[in-house]
Amino acid sequence: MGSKILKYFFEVNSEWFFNYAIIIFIMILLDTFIVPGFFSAVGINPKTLLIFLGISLVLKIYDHSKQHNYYRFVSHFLSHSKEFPIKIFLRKLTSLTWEKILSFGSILTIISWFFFNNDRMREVVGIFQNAGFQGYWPHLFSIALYLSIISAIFRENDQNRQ
Amino acid sequence: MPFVIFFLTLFLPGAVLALYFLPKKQTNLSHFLLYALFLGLASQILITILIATSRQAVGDPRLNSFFISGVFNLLIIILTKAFKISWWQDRLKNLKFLAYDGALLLISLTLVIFVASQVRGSNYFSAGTDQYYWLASAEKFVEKPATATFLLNPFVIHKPTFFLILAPYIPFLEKTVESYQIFILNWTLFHYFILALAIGQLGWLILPYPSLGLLAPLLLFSFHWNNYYILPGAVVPQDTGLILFVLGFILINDSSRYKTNKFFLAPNFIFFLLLYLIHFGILVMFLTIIGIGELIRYLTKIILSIFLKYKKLSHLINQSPTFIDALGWFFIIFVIIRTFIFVTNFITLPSYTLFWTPPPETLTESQRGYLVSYSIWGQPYFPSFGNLIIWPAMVGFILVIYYSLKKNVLSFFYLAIGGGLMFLFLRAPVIPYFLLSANWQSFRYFLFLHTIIAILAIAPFAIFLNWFKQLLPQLSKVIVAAFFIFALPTLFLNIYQQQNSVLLDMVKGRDEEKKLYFNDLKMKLIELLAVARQIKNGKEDILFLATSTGTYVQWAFAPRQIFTPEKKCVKLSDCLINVTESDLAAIITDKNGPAFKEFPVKTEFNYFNLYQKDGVKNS
Repeated sequence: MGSKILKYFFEVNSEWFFNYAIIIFIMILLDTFIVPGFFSAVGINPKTLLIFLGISLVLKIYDHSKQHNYYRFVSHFLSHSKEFPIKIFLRKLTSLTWEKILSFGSILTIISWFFFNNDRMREVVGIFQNAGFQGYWPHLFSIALYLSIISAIFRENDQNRQ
Repeated sequence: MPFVIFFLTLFLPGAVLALYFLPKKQTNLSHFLLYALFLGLASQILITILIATSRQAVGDPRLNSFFISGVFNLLIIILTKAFKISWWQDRLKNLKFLAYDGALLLISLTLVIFVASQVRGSNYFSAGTDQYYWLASAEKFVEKPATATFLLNPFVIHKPTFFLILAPYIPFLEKTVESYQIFILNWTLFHYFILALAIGQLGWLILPYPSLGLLAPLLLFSFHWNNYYILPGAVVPQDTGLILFVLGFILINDSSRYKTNKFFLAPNFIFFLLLYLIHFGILVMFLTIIGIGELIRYLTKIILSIFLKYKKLSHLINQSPTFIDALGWFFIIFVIIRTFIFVTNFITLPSYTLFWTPPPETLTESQRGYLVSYSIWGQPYFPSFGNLIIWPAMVGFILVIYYSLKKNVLSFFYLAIGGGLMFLFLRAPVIPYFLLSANWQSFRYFLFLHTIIAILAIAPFAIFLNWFKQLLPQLSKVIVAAFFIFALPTLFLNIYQQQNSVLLDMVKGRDEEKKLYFNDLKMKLIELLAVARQIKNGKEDILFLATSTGTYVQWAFAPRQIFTPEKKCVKLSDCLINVTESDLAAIITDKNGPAFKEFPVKTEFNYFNLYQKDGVKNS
C-alpha cells in the first residue's frame, strides 16, 4: 500500500502541473530579471508565489476533476481498481520531452531557491556577476547549468558504457 | 597567436588521430575530447622536435612553426585518409553529444569561471618557481636543440621532456612578465577545465549510476591540495601527468571494452610513451596501482577456485591480461622485489642505480623533510567536509570490490584495489619515496589520493541508487536531481573558497614572515629582465651571481646558461660571464683575488649583485 501511494504520488504527471509550473517560473523570471521587484513591490515575494502555486494547483485539480469526472478517479484510487489510468501517465512520463525537463527543472530550481532562502543561490549568482556576467546573464547561466544537470540525469544514456 | 599554434600542433592532429583510433562505435563528446588531448600532446612533442631540428632551414621561428605544423597535419591527414569527406561523415556520425556532455562541459566551464572571476579581482601573479624552469628549458631548446641529447639516452629514466610541449609557444610570446603570466594563466585554466572533464568522464564510465559522475569534478576541486597544485601555475609536468593519470583509467576501461579491436593497441602505446616522457614517477605509480589490482585479481581467482570450489567465476577474474595489465605485472614484480630488499635490508644498494633510492641516513635536511608522513585525517589544509568524504570512500572501497567483480568493470577494480590499498591504507610518503623513487614532497601524493577518494566516495551512493533505480526508476531520478540542486550551491561555494584561499596565498604569501614574498618576486623578475636586456646590449664582461631564485634567473637569461655559486658551469662558453678559467677559479676560491668591481643595475630595486671585470670585487 505504502509503495503504491508513493508511486501514485510521484508518478502522476499531467499537463496542468507543468503548465502551472511554467507560469510560475515565468512570473519569477519577470520578477527577477525583466521588471526587477515588480511583484515584490506589490507585496508578492517568492513565498507568496509558492502559496499561489498551491492554491492554483488545488483549483486546477478541482477544475480538471470536474471536466474529466475525476471523482471516479478518486474512488478508483481508494478501491485499488486496475482501470486507474496510471499506466498512461507512466507512459507519458517515460517519454520525456525537453519541455518537460525544462519545466521540471524550473520547479526544482525554484524549490531550491526557497530552500536556501535565496542566499546561497545569490552567492553563486554573485560569483558569476563577479566573473563579468552582467544583467540577466548570471541568473540565466546558473539556470542553464541546473537544467543541463537535470537533463543529464533524466536523459541518462548508458548504452555507450561498458 | 598562441591559440593558433595550440590548434595546429595539439588540437587538429589530436582530433584527427582520435577519430582515427577510436573504434567505429558510438562515442560521446567528452570522451573524444580527452582522446584528442593526449594524442594531441604526443603529436605536439613530435612537431616540436621537427621544428627545432629544422630551425636552420627556415630562418624565422614563427614561420617555421607554422610551416612544420602544417606539413605534419597534412601528413597525418594523408596517412589516415582523412581527406575524404566520407571519412569525416562516417566518424562524426558516431560522435554523440549526450545530455551528460553538456552538463559536464558546463560544470567544468563554471569551475574555470570561478577561477577567472577571482583572478580578475585579485593582483594575480603566478609565483610558482618550477614553471619558469620549464619555460626556460623550452626557450633553450628552441634556440639550441642539441641540448636535448637526453632524449636519445636510454639510461636517463626521468626524462625532462615536458618542455617539448611548451616549446612551440615560445616564439610567439613576448619576453615580458605580463605576457608570460597570461600564458601561464591560460595554460592553468585549460588544465583546470580538462581535469574536471576527465574525472567527470571517468565517473560516467565506471560508476553504476552514470549521472553521479558529475559530482566527481566538484568533489575533486573542493580539496585544497588539488587547487593548490594547479592554480599557482599548471605549467609543470606533474599537472599534465595528473590528467594523464585519470585518463589512464579511462583507457583501461576502453581496452577491456574494445579488446577484440587489435587496432586499439596503438593509443595504449602512445599513452604510455607520453606518460613516460612527461612524468616517469606518475607512470610508475599508475602501473603499480594496476599491478596491485592484477595481483589481487589473481589471488581472488586462486582463493575462489581452491577454497570455495566456485566454478562459475566472473568474467573479470577469468579474462586474460591486456597490454596494460602486462605492464602492471612487470611493475608489481619490481615493487615486490624492491619492498623485500627494503624490509629485509639484506643488500645495500648504491644510490645512483636505476630505481634504487638512497637510504634515509644519507639524505639532506630538506630531503628528509619530504619524508614526514601525513595521515589522511590530520593533513594541513584539509577541508572540513573532507573528513566527512573519507568515510563514504572507505565504504566505497569495500563495496566496489564486490561490484566491479560482479559487473566486470576492470578500471573500477584497479582504482579501488590498487589505488585504495595503496593510498588509503599505506602511509603515503613511504611508498613513493622508497619503492617508486618518486621523491617529491609527500603531500603531493594527496593529488592522486583525492582523485581516487572523489570517485570512491560517490561509489556507495551510486551503487545504492542503482539498486533503487531498478525498483522506482523515476523516483530515483527525482531524488538525484533534487540532491544535485540542493548540493550544488554548497559545493560551488566550497570550491570557490578553496580557490580563494590558494589565490590569496599567491598574492600575500602563506607565511606571516614572508608576507610580501610574491610581490617581491614579481619585482625581482622585472629587474632580472632589465638586467638581461642590459647584458644583451654588448656588455658581455659582466658577471652575474645568482643565489636563491635560480629558476627565475634561468628563465630571464634563457637561452644562456647561468653561473651560480652552487652550480658551476661545465663549459665556460655556455656561461653568462666572459672571464678566463683562472679568473673563475679565483672568484670561487679566493675572496680578495679577482679583478671585478660591482656593476650598478639601472633599475629601481637593486636586488641582485652584478660584477664587472677590471675592478675590486666587493662581496
